[in-house]
Amino acid sequence: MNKFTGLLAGALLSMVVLAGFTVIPPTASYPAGDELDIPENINAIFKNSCYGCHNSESKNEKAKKKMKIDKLAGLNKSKLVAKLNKIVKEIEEGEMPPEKFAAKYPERVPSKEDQQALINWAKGEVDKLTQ
Amino acid sequence: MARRILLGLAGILLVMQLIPAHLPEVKTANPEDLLANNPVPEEIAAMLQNTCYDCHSNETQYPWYAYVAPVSFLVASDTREGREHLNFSAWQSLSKADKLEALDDIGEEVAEGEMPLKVYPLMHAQARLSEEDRQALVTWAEEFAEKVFEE
Ligand code: HEC
Ligand code: HEC
Repeated sequence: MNKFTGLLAGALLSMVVLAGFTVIPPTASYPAGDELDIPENINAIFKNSCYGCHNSESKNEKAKKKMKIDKLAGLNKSKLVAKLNKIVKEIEEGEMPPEKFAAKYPERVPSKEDQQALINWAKGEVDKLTQ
Repeated sequence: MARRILLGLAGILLVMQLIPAHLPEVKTANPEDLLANNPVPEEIAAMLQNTCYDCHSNETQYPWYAYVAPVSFLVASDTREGREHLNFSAWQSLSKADKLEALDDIGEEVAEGEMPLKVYPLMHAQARLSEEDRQALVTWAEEFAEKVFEE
């Protein structure tokens, strides 16, 4: 190897190392409580489409960590607003229930009307809490 | 033979430099910035600036290698995506609910070690957070959320 190829190899190696660094993959019935009003129709949607993953006994650790529907009412108000706001976004963006679940249990995906009801409800609760 | 392969690779790298990476634009005047508008404790403000602002604000400080392909493509996409998800430069324009959601996210991502993206502290020594640093950020996010809620 002459000097030139040595230099080139060094440069290439550092590029590859740099690039390598950058591609390292960077993630029942619910007590409503004073702060949160969960009407029967919303409860039914939660039960059918969400509760299986998002409850305090869930085996889905990731889902449980992010949100426990049975514990929503016990959150402090600022966290409750955060979670309700997220419900709106996840539903609007069609992220929840997750794709795999939806493919396996199509009957558990909320209908368009139910999605809208869920969004309206969560927005209404956010407004009540933040007015 | 080895030399030909090396020269070939070098050629590819050179040609790659001609493809624009479209690094997101840097803006230094950000009247809606979080830190410019809110009393954030100094050590927290420093942590946010040193560990988050490159990807989550308009004030990105690009290192030299951010201009060299293929690293530039990765920096560009991390910065673009980071700003899309959370941009501290636009903090004041968020609704109260969006601020609370962002603070809840920040607490979760930092506590779980998801943020800053793992690649980042490898290249930025001042972004290596200790457990105490993480805890301090999480506590700040919770306390600040209470303040935002009361606003
Ligand atoms: C098959 C299990 C499963 C079902 C069913 C499900 N989720 Fe999720 N959900 C998850 C997982 C896993 C995450 C975490 C995703 C991640 O971190 O990428 C999550 C995240 C969320 C989040 C984000 C919370 C946060 O703090 O970031 C919200 C909001 C949410 N789900 C709402 C819902 C709603 C509403 C439904 C019902 C319409 C639902 N989910 C149904 C598994 C599920
Ligand atoms: C190297 C770039 C980079 C750095 C540094 C970085 N982030 Fe991120 N961040 C991203 C990207 C890209 C995403 C979106 C994709 C993802 O979630 O992985 C993201 C997502 C997030 C989200 C999720 C927002 C949402 O909508 O769910 C939060 C919160 C966050 N980052 C907070 C932080 C905090 C706090 C810091 C500093 C301690 C930080 N990030 C440092 C690139 C970065």
